[in-house]
Amino acid sequence: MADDRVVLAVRSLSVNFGGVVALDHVDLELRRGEIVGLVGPNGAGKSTLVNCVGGQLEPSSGSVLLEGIELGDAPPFQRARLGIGRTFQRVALFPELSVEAHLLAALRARHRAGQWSQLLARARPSTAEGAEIVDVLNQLGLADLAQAPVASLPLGPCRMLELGRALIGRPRVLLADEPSSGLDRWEASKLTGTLQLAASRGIGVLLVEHDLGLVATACDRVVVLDVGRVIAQGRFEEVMADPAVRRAYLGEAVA
Amino acid sequence: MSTFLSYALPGIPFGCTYAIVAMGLVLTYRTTGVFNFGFGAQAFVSAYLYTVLTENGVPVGLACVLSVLVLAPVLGGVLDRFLFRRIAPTNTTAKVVSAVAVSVALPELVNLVFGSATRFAPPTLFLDPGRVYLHVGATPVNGLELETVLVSAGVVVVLSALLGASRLGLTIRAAVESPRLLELEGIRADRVLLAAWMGSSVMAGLAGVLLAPQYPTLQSNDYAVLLVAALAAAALGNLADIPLALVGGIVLGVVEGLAAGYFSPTSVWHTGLLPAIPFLLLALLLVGRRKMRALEENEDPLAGCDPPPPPSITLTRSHELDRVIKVGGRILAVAAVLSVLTWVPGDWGFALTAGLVYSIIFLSITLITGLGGEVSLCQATFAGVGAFAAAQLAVHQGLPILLGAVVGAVVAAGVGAIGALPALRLRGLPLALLTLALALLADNAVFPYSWAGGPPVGLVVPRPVIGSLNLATTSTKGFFVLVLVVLVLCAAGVKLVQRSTVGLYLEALRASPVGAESLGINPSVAKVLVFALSAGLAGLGGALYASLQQTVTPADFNYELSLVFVVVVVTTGVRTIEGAIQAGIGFTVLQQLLSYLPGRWGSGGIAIVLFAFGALTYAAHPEGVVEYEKRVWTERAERLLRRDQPPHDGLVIATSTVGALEHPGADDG
Ligand SMILES: Nc1ncnc2c1ncn2[C@@H]1O[C@H](COP(=O)(O)OP(=O)(O)OP(=O)(O)O)[C@@H](O)[C@H]1O
Ligand SMILES: [Mg+2]
Repeated sequence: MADDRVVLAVRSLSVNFGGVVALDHVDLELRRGEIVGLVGPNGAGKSTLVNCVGGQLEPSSGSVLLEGIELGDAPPFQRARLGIGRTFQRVALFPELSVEAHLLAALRARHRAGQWSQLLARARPSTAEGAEIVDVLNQLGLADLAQAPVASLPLGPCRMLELGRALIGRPRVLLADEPSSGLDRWEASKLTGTLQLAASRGIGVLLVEHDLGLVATACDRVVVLDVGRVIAQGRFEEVMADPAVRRAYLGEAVA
Repeated sequence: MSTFLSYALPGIPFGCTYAIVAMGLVLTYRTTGVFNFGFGAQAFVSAYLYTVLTENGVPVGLACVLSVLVLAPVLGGVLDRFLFRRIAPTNTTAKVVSAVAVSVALPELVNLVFGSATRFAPPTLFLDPGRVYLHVGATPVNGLELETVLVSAGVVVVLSALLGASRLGLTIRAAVESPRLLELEGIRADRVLLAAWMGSSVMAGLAGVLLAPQYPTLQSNDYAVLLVAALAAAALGNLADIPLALVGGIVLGVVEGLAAGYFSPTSVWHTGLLPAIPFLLLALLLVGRRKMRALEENEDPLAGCDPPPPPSITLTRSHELDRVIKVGGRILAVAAVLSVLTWVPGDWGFALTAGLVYSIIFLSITLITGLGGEVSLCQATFAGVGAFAAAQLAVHQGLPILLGAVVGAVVAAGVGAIGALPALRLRGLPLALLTLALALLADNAVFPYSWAGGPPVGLVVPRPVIGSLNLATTSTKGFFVLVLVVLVLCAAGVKLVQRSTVGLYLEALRASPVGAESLGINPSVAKVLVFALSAGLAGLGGALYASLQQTVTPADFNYELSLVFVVVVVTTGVRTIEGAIQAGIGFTVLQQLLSYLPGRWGSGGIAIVLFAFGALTYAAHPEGVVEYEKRVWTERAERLLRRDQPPHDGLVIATSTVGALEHPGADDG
C-alpha cells in the first residue's frame, strides 16, 4: 500500500439497480484521523456507497479494502467487528430499548463477538463498560437520558445516540449518513465536536452531508458525487468553486 | 405412455383446485400484503354450506350461488373490514397471527354451529360424476374431472380479463406497495383491497365446492392440505406471479398423480413421501429461491408514521400498585397450589396440571416469538419430538421418564437447531411458512412411523417414579408438584435468557435487523440459539404432557395444535412469562369450565374459537388482549389511587416523535 495511513479504500466500485447505475466506478480513500465529506445532490449515490462499505448492499463490481484487506462479501456484522461503524439515513434504532442498552449492545457485539459464554451473561454493564458508556453519553449530551426508552425520544437525541452506538468501542472507520438532518443548532455543534474528537482519536470519518456549512467546518477534504460518479474532490473551497459542482448542485443554468 | 397419462390425468383436477386457491393467495398477497392461511378454512366453509344445502334439497345451482357467490365474498369482506384492514402494513407478525387465527377459528365455528356429524360428498355442479364424457388417449375423463377443469379455465379467463385491464392492474400494484401512498394520490385504496379480498375469497370458496365431491366425506383436514399445496404452487410463482401460480398448481397435481400411480401402494415412498410432496416442495422453494427471501424487504414508505407499541404495563405502573399486584399474585398462586393439593376435585387437579404443562410449552413461544420476534408454526412438532423420544426410550429402553424427558428436550433442541439452519436467511412470513411446512412434513412423513410417533394405537407412557415415590399412584397431586417445580425452573431460565446479552441482541434484531447487524451482532447465532432453546423447552413440555396423559399417539402433536398454541399465547401476551403461564392455565381452565356445557358446546372447540377471537385483536393490541386489559385496569386503579396527578404525560411526546424511527411498529412479537 502506497500510503499506510489509508484506512479505507474503495476501488472502482459500481452498483446497478436493474437499469439504474447508482455508482459508476467510484474510487475513494479515507485516511486515519481524517474527516472526508461526501456530498452531492439527491440520488447521487451517496447512501449506496455507504451501504456497499457497510455490507448492507452487494456491489455489482469493484472492491472495498479496510486497512489493505479486501472485504469481499463479508456480511455487515463481520465488517462491524473488523471496525466499520455506521449510522443510517433513516434512523435504525431499537425503539423499546433504553439508550444505555443500545450502547451496551454495540460494545458487547464488537468486542465480545464469538464468545459463547458471554451470550448468557447478564445484560448489565460491568464497571469498565459502564465507564465507557458514560464517556460516550457525556460526549453526546445524552447523560440524562441513559435509562429512557428510545421510543420516547425526539429525533435529535436519536441521531446522536445512533452516532454514539457506531462510535463506542472505537471503530477504525465511521460512516455517517446525513447525521445532522433533524438536529437543532446546538445539537449540530455537538455533532461536529463528536466527529472531530473521533477523528482526533484516529478514526477515519466519512461524512455524507447536505449541510454544506457543517461540511465546511468539519471536513478536511470533500468528495462530490453526481449520478454515481466522482466529479470533484479536494479542499472545500476549491471544490465549491468548480463549475461542474455548481452545475450538479444548481442545475444547467449556472454553467 | 398410456400408463403415464392414466396416472397424470387424474391429478389435473386436484391441480386445478390447488391452482385456484394459489391464484387467490397471490392476489390477496399482492394487493393487501396479507398471506391468508385462512383460505383453506374458507374453502372448507363454502364446501360445508354447499354440502348442507344440497343435503337438504336445495337445488345445486342455488346452493352453489349461496355458498360461493354470497357466503364467500361476505366472509372475505368481513375479514378485510374488521381484521386485516386494521393491521399495519409492516407488522408481519400480526398479519401471520391473524391469518392463522382465521384458519383455526373457522372450522371450529362450523363444528359448533352444525355439529360434527359426518357429511358425505355433495353432488357435482353440472356434470354427472359417473359418466365418462371423453377419452384422452385411452384414459377416460369423468364428469367430475371435466367439470373441475372447465370451471378452473373459466376462473383464469375472468381473472386475466380483470387484471389485464391496465388501470386496475396498476392500481392494484400500487396498493401493494403502500395503500396509504395510494390514498394520497386520491384513489380509494380500501375499495381496491376490499375487491381483492372478496374476489380471492370467491376463488377459495369455488375451489372448496369443486373439491368437495372428490372426497368421500367432508373433512377440514383435506382443506388444510389444499392450502399447503396452494402455498407451494404460489411459492413457485414467488408469491407474486399469478400465471406461474396457476402452472404450479396444476404441475403439483400431476406430480402427485404420477407419484400415487408409480409408487407401489405398500412402498415407503407411497406412505411417506407422497403425502409430503407439497410440504417438501414448499420448504425447498422457500429456502432455495432468492426472491422468496427478499419478500420482507418490500416495505411501506409511510410505515414510520405508526407509533411503537406501548411498553409493558408491569414496567410502567407505580411502585405501590406494583407491590400490591405482586404480593396479591403470590398469595393467589400459593392459595391455588394449596387448593390443588387439598380440596380441589381430581378432574380439576388434572386440568390445572395440564395447564402447567402447557405453560412450559407456551414458554417456548415466549422465547421464539416474544423475544426472537419470529412466528413459529411448529412448536407442537417440537413438543412431539420430545414426547416421542421420551416415550420410546421409556417403552423400549426402560429409561426413567424424567431422564427421558431431559433427553427428549435435548433431541428437540437439536431438531430445532437443525431446523433453524435452512431458516437462517428467512424472516417473517417465509419463515412462518417454512415452519408450517416442517410441521406438516413431520405429521405426514415422520410421526406416522412406529419408530417415531409409535404405533397408531399409541404408546403407554409411565408417570415418573422418584425414589420410593411413585407419582402414578398418588393421583395427579404429586405430578402437579413436580410439574410446578419444572415450570418454575423453566420460567427462571427464560427470564435469564431475556435478561442476558443474547436477549439484548434478540431484542435489537427484532426491532431493526439492519441496525443490529451494523453493530456486529451475528443474526445466525442468535437465531439458532433461540430456536434450539425454544424447541428444547417445547420438547420438555411435550414429554411431561405424554407422561401426564400416560399415553401418546402419533396424532397428538399435529400441526393444528401448533396453530392453536400460537393463537392462545398471542391472546394472553407473548412478551412476558406471566403471559405464557396465564395462557396455559387459562386454556385448560376454560376448557374444563366449558365441559359443563351440554353437547357439542362442551367439546372444547369453543375455547379455541374464543382464543382465536382473542388473537384477532392482536392487530389492535400487539401486547395481547389480556395484557391490554391489565393496562386498562391498572390505569384505572392508578387514577383512583391519586386523582390529583394526570397519568402518563410522557406518552404524548412518544407518539409525536416516532416518525423518524425506522418502522418502529414492525414485528413486535
Ligand atoms: N434499492 C434500490 N433499488 C433501485 N434503485 C435504487 C435503490 N436504492 C437506491 N436506488 C437508486 O440509486 C440512486 C442513488 O441512490 P442513493 O440513495 O444512494 O442516493 P443518495 O445520494 O443517498 O441520495 P439522498 O441525498 O437523497 O440520500 C438513486 O437514483 C436511487 O433512486
Ligand atoms: Mg442517501
